[in-house]
Amino acid sequence: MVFSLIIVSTFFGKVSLDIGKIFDSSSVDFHILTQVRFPRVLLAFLSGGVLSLSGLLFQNIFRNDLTTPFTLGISGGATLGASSVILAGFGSSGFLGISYITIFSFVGALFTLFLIYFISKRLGDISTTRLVLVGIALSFLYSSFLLIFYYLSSFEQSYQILRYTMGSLLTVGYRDLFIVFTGAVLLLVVSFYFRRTLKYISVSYDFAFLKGIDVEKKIMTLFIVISFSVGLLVSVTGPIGFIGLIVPHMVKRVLRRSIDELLTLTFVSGGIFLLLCDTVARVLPSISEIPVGIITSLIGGSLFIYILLKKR
Amino acid sequence: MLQVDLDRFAFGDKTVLKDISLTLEKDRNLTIMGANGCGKSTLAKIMCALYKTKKSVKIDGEYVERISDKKRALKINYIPPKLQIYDSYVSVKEYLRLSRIRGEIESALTVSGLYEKQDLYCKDLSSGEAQLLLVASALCHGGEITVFDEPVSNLDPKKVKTVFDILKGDMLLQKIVITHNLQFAYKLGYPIFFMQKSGARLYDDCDEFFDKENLFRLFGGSVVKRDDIVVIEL
Repeated sequence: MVFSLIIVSTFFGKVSLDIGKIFDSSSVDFHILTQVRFPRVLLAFLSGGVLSLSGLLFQNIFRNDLTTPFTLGISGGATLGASSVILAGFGSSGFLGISYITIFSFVGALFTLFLIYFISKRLGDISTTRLVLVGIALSFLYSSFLLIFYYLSSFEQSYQILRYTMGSLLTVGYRDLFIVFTGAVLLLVVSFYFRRTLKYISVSYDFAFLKGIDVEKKIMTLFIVISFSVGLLVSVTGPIGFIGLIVPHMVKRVLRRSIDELLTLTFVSGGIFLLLCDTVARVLPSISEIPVGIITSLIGGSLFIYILLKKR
Repeated sequence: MLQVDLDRFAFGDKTVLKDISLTLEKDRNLTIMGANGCGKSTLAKIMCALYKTKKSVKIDGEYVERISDKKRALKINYIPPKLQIYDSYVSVKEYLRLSRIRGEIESALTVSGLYEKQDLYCKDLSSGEAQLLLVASALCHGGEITVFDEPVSNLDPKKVKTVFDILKGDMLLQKIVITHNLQFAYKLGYPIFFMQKSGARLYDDCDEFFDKENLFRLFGGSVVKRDDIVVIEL
C-alpha cells in the first residue's frame, strides 16, 4: 500500500505528467519524475516517519504526551542556525554542494541537543517534567532571538527566514534525500535495538531499574541518536510541526498496543500522513505551492480535535 | 544478608532519615512500621538502590551500589504501594512477563486470583486488583529479598487474606513488609522494625512489640490488644 501510494502520489503536481512519456529518458516528463517528484515523495515519506517515530520515542522517554523533539527546542535551534546564515548573507550559497542553511540548522539542532543533554544531567533525572519545561523555555528564548533577527534583516531576508520556519519538502535530486535517509535508518535501527528497554521504561523507570536494566546509559544513547536524526531531518526540511505529536497519539488510540509493537507502524503512518499532506499541498490551486507545514497543522489539528471529541 | 548502616539521608536540606542501623540475617523476614512520613518508603528505596547512597547498604557483604544491575535484580526487588504505568496498553499478562526473572507466571496468576483478568489492560483493573497484580509481579520476579511497600493498604478483607497467604507461604524467599495494618503485622509474626522521629528500634520478637504495655507506650491508648486481636480504639 505504501509503495502504491508513493507511485500514485508522484503523478500529482503543478505540471501534469504524460504517462506515455515517462519512460523516455530524454523527455521533460521523465526528468520531472525522477529528479523532482520521486525524491520529493520519498522525502515526504521518510520525514513523516522520522518525525512520528521520534515523537513516540520522546513521549515514552519523557513520559509526557506532549513531548516531541520540537517541544524540546530542537527545531528552534535549527531555525536559529538557519536564520543566522540568512542574516549573514549566505542564504543561497553552500559548501560542497550542501547549502549553509542545511549545515547551520543541523549545528543549531545539535547544539540544542547537547544543551538539553547537559541540563538533564544537571537535573539528575531524565524522566522529570522539568526537562520539558526547560525545552519550552529554550523555545521561547530562541523565538525572541528569532524576532531580533527578523528586526535586523532586510525585507528579502526576513521572507527567506519566514519561509524556512514554515518547513518545506521542496527538493531536487537525491542529496537531501540521502541525508534524511541516513537519519531514518539510524533511528529505526536504534529504536529496534532498544525495544526491550523502551518497553520496560514504558512501565516506569524504577521498574526497569529493578529488573536489572542499565536504564540511564541506554536512554542517553537513544536520546542522542533520536536528536541526531531529527537534526539531520530538520536541516533539510525546516521545522514541520505537529506530526510528532498527533501521529503517535492516533496510532496508539487506534491500535491499543504498547510501544514495542508500535515502532514500525508509527513510522509508516507518519510517512503516509506527511505524504498525503504534501500531495494536497502540491495540488491545491494557488500561485505557488502552499508550505506543507501549514497543511499538516490544518489537517492534523482538526483531526486531532475530532478524535478527542469522538472519544468522549 | 542485608545490612543497613545509614548516618543521614536528605532530600536537599530536609533530613528524612537519621542513624538507621539494621541487620537482617539470610533466613529472616521483617515488618517495618512507623507513623506517616517517618521515612519507611525512603528506607525501602535506599535498600533497593532506587535512592542512591554510598556505602550504607550491603547485600551479602557487597555494597548495593557496586553490585551489577542484573545481579542486584536477582538479590532485591521493591514493590511500590501503587501500580503506576505510563503506557496505557500494557496487559496484565504482559506486565507479569516483563516482571519475570525466575518466577512462574501461571502460578502467580492463580494464587493472586487474577487468572481471569490476565488479558485486560492494567489501567482497567480496580485499585485492589492492581495491588494484587503488584504482589503477583513480586512472585514472577522472585528476588531473594522482596520489599513490599504497604501491600494491603487499599484492599478489601478477602484480598488482604490473599496477600497474607502469599506472604506466609514459601513462594518468596525473604520478605520485608511495610504496613500500617496492625493486625496484619501481628499475624505475620515477623520481627518488627519500628521507626520514630526519635530513632528506630528493632523488636526481634513480634510479641515483644505487641506486648500490651509496649503498645501503650508507643500509641497511648489508641491501640489495644484483646486476646488475639489488635485494634485501634476509636
